[in-house]
Amino acid sequence: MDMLIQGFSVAFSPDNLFYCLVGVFLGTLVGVLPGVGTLASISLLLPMTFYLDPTTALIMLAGVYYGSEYGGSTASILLNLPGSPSNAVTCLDGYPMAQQGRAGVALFMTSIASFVGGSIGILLMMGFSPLLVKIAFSFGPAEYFALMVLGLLAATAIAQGSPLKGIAMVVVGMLIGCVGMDISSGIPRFTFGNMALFEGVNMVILAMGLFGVSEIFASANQLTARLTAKDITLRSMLPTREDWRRSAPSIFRGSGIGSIIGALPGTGATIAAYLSYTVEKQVSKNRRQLGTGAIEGISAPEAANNAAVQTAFIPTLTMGIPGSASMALILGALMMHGIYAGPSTMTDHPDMFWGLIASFWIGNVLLLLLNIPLVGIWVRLLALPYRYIFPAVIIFICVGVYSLTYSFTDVVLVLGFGLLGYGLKLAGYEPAPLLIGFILGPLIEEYLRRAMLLARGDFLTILQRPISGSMLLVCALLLGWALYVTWRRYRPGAPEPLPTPAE
Amino acid sequence: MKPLFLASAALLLFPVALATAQDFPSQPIHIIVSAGPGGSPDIFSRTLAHYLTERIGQPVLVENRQGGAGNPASEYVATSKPDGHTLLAVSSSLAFNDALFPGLPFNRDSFVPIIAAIGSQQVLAVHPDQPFETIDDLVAAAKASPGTISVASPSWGTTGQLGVLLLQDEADIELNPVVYRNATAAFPDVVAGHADAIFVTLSAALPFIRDGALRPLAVTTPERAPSLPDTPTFREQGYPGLVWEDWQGWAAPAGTPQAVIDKLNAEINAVIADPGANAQLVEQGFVPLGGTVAEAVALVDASDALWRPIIVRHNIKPE
Repeated sequence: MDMLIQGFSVAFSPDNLFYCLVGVFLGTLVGVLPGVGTLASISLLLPMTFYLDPTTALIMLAGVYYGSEYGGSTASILLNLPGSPSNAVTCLDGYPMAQQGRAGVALFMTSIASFVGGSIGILLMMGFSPLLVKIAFSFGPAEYFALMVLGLLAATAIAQGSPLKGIAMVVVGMLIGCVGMDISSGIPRFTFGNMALFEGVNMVILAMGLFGVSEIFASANQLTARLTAKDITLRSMLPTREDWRRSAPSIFRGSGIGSIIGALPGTGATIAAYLSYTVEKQVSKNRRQLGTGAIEGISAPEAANNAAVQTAFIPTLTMGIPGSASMALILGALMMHGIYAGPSTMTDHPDMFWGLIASFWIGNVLLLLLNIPLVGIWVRLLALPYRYIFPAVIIFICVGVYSLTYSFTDVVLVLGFGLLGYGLKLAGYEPAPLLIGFILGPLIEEYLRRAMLLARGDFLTILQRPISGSMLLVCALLLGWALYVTWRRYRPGAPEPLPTPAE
Repeated sequence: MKPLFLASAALLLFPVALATAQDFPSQPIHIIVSAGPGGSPDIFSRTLAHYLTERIGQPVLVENRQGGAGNPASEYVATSKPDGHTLLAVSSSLAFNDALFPGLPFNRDSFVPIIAAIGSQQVLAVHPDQPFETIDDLVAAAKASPGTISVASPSWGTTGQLGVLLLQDEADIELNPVVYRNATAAFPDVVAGHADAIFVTLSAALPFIRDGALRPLAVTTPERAPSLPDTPTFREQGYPGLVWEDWQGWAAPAGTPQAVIDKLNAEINAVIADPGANAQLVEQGFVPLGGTVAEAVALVDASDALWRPIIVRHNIKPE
């Protein structure tokens, strides 16, 4: 407790408070702007931190990191354009809500869910860091492999319509994930000799193309605004009692899932958001409405990804092991100041460690204060005619993508994925399972091969290890259940299943 | 008439060449780094750039061009105007990159090394529960049951991965090399005991070693590393083939005037000698090196001579 009080005194120093505000404000901004990712903005700010005190630098960079998770959902809800990959899930229900005129409610609830998720993540981080480190350490390649298989199986459940189409999308996603240099042999796969493809397709590019650009193509014939200014009242923005009641359990489930997934290095906020959405799909009372604008569909993943970005600091700060590319950058910022994060960070730099944790909380409060009034402004954006919004968004996307790697190929790719997404939409395929296949496919391959290498090619070891074995058993049971249900539905004499509409 | 013409042409050109060196730098200098911000090439480049800016009166800017195993960044610099205003952050792999990636439009002759600014050592470390205390212990265990000791290396084509192969050749043993995506992905597996050992840059392993999460067996430097005085070298333990020093520095596109190269070399050496910059580099985990252009070229040659045969012998090629 003393430590935490000391931490708050560090975090409340005028300098740290100012840079915390700068960080979360910039984070919200880059989260909202499609194409300018967290990674790019932390990269841009990193050189600046050279001139700051390490704790202050870390507070600002961390603010950008978790701030962008708040902002990232805004464009997902308003324009079906995920600001970052972890917000792609929020499109699934957030965008339908906006189409139903409930964008304000969705944005409001997102801020609340993010705040609760973030706070729970911080609490767990303060109380259970050593335990979470222990869990993370018990995860070897075999366990990660089993976890990813479970996630992949869950991905097919995200699909609304035909499971066959869902599986097809997952497989296509995995294929796209194969692009690039193979990490253990250096063999370039599907690169067509183009050096820009050597490190694979960037996840941000795929997510923006499939969700956002395709949406713009699809609604290019609809150039008038969806809302008129008089539709926007304060009342229409506040969640109803019903919304609160339905969201509460989802937020807590999401926070719990997010906290644990976030602490595992090598997973991250995106997988946390997907898993919590899948769990909602199985356990929520309103699971049938998910995908059509159900409030659970935004509160669970938003709570999860914000909880995950907080607990992601546990492996980074306590072991020096970053869970994501953005975390690696933050670790790099510490190295610039000659601080090597490791098991002794807490004892060697207690001011920094506890000051940072205290700043997380202050940052989350600032974000809440910042985002609630912004809801009204964002919703008014929808009142703008689309002939102004669309060209601006396309330009933002192209400039943002180009700024990532200075690669023209990436700009072509994002537009290409937009076309692909449009085609899939016309044919009634959904982009969400494709994205999760893309994320998990390469990880499954990497961990399976590593587990096999470490076990000298003995597959049985994966089944014998308690954690991976039980996770694979759950997979087998789920698969068996799904097959059984499918067989019952399609067996001769069963009633014809209703065709699912393309939208 | 011809020799006279040439001589006069040379005379005419001479002041021009002189002018380039004197006026250099006439515009901001861009350092192209193929790693992302926060990677070790980025950190040392930014530190040098910061101090260099104060010395030479033009901003020195670090630009990150990530991706493509570093090749797009190299290609960009190789085709830049060779006037010293666009430089590339390079490492030992400059020497043998073309052996790993045949068919690229550039090789080591497309660049002129300016300086080897910092050195870095590799360390072979094991999980503390492993019984090995020396390289001989490890070699004996590997001889007893070939292919069972897993050695993690940070990523494909690095001297860490090649070092595992070199150790196998020198000690005539068979290990189980496991290549990771990057060093940060490799550490958790070794620290948690999923892999037995790791061959990696010393500065990255140092925090784990200090916390007792890894036990160092040997370093690759000719003499013991100052940051790890109790750990013997490979040479001390009877493996003289496993002696090398990795380095990182800056290079210019081939064709850059010698005077510009010399001026940059002198200025960067002055930065490295600056107590502030030197202390900062040491704090960041680097070993400040510096030295003449000829010494940098010699280091490139040494890396080439050591690693190219291993790449060829083990047929390490992406195709």
